[in-house]
Amino acid sequence: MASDQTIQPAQPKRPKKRYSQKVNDRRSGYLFVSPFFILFGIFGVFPLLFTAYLSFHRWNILGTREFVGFQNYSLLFTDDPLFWKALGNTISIWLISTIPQLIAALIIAFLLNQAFLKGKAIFRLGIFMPNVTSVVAVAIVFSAMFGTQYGIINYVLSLFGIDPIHWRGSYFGTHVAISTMVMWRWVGYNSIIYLAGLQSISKDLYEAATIDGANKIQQLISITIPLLKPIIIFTVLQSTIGGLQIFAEPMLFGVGGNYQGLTVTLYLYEEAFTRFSFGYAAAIAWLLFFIIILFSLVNVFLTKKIKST
Amino acid sequence: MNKSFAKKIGLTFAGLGLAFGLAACGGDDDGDTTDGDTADDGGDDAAAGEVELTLWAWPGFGLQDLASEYEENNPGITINIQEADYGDVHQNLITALAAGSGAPDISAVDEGYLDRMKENSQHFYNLYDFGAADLQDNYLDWKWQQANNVEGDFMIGIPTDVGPMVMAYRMDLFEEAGLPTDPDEVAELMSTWEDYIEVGKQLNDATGVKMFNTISDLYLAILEQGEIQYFDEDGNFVGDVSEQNKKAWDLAVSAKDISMNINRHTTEWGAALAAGDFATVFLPPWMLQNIKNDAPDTAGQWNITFMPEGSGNFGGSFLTLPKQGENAEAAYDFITWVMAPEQQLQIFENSGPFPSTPAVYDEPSIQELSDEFFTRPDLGAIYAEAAEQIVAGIKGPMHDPISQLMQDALGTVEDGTDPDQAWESAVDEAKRQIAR
Repeated sequence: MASDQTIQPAQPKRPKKRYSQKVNDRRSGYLFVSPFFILFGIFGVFPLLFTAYLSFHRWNILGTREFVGFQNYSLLFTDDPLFWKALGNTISIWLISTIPQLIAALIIAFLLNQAFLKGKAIFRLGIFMPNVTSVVAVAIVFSAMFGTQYGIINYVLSLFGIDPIHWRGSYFGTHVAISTMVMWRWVGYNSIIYLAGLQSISKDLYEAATIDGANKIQQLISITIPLLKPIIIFTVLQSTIGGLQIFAEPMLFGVGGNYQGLTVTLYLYEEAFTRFSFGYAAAIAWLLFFIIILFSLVNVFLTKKIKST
Repeated sequence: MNKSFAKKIGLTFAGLGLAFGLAACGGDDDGDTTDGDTADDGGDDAAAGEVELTLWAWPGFGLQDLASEYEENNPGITINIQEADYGDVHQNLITALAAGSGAPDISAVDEGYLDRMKENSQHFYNLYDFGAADLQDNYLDWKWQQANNVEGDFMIGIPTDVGPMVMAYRMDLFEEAGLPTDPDEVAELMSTWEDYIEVGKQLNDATGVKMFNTISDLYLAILEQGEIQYFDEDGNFVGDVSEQNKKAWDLAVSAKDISMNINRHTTEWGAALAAGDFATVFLPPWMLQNIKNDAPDTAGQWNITFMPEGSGNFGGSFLTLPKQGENAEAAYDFITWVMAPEQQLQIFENSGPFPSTPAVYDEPSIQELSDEFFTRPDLGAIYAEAAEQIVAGIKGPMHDPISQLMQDALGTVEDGTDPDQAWESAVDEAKRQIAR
């Protein structure tokens, strides 16, 4: 293009018409979307690639980087029981928090959608409130409630003659305590999403069902749940992504001596920022990335199955 | 200073900086290129008159009044003290050093992070280059040595406070158990850790009250009294064979029955203190306030004496000069002034931390420091004596993570795990973490 111009200097109008309107539109299109791609490149792609690069090194962030090849990965697979324990904990906490949470959210949304309910806005606000509460505050308050010897939950249990549970000292206790915090924060969020889905279901269906003599529970099972399927799939996906990244709750509650509350992201974080093994932490990050891909594929597979039924 | 808890919260937020930290690290190679001439710049700027020194610290240093006084006496110098949580200060400093820009002229560094910084001393000014050797006699010898590298030719920071450990005990509970309550008699009764545990069992039998909060705290108190803990002088891991580590572990395990199984600085710890459910606490001076806050109604029931087998150190910091700072000489002048014996005494008098300068230990304001809450009329004197007894342990960059592993393992022992098995897995995990 440049050489064309030097050869034909006598045609001053040519450069102006260098690009057609179509090309110009395309160019401005790219220009408009470029801020996202530039930011994504800096904060998304670069750290991703740099993490991959780091995972082949031994590095304490302040000193020099020492190339170690696949050593971090081989240690991770062959000599790191703690990582696999963390993965197990993460999945367990995710299941304990997600399943009851989604069921509860569905029931709450169903109740909130009832015609007889007065003051709907207040209830909706109330149920959503925990989601906008600071996770640190939530964890501190719940940690106090789950105290073994002076916690209010054990006190209430003792009123029913149940022995105090050592929340920080057992797998069951720690997983339930952390799951409860997650549930408390997210049940309202999911309820509101379900509620939006419910409101898109035509009232005629319920009226017809009522005339046919179906009770509320039959309506829930035969009308609401089938029609909510896409929304339910969405919330399950969201909870999967969130569940594999549980971090703040176990960090503030404490992971316990057996590391029964240690999740994968918390393990990664500690490896990097308390033990300063950045190379190893980077290897964990990449492994976690592949694990999340695996989970997503399973999700896609299940979703397709459900859709086709 | 509720350090471990503040640290946790701080780290949560610091975690958000992960992506930024990594992104910033790409350019760390060019960060050092200008270092050569920054020292000279410092001198020029100071001569020119207007110098602003930024100082990073976490709450509790008590430097603000002295900084104002320094500003008055040194026109043209402004000290800008920026406080953040304990964890954040160190995280931010490490990130700034790795990124090549953003570090302050002066940063406080706690002893827990000190070896990590010493390992990367290329990021800091060597205070011996400014003539720090002349000041050595002002400071406790063990504390001064902590700031030096192994060869003794690099000095990373000027000592601030120290945390000599003593033992607080509940006189009313001791009396109830038929034990002596006079501090000297108590110290004599518990001259060894075995005696301490024995007394704890008597107290527990007589009153049903536990002796202390958790065996991992007992473990730490004993561990800190030894020189070789997890690493030897050459930085080799010796935790699995170290006498002091084994001794601390075995004693802690044997004291399981007289422990509450509650961690320090938790809500439960405060509740147990207030309820009088355990009778002794090992604590450095800065922790006195925690007891007052958590258990205000126990005023006058406490007394303080020496721990069995000497003191130990818990906490304490240094003021360092990162090489990114542009006014090194002015900064050096300030930190050596503010941490000189006289000024450290002043900080202490304004209810700050305990001085690291033995020359002021005989001053009346330390010797006669009394506290009705803790009964003793000579609280300061016992701290001064404890401070001089301290043997500084050899730490190494991985000391804190390994200490955490051992404490966690003791936590499981307290919850019922077999001690030998817990020891094995903690030592194995320690070796794995060091190898990474």
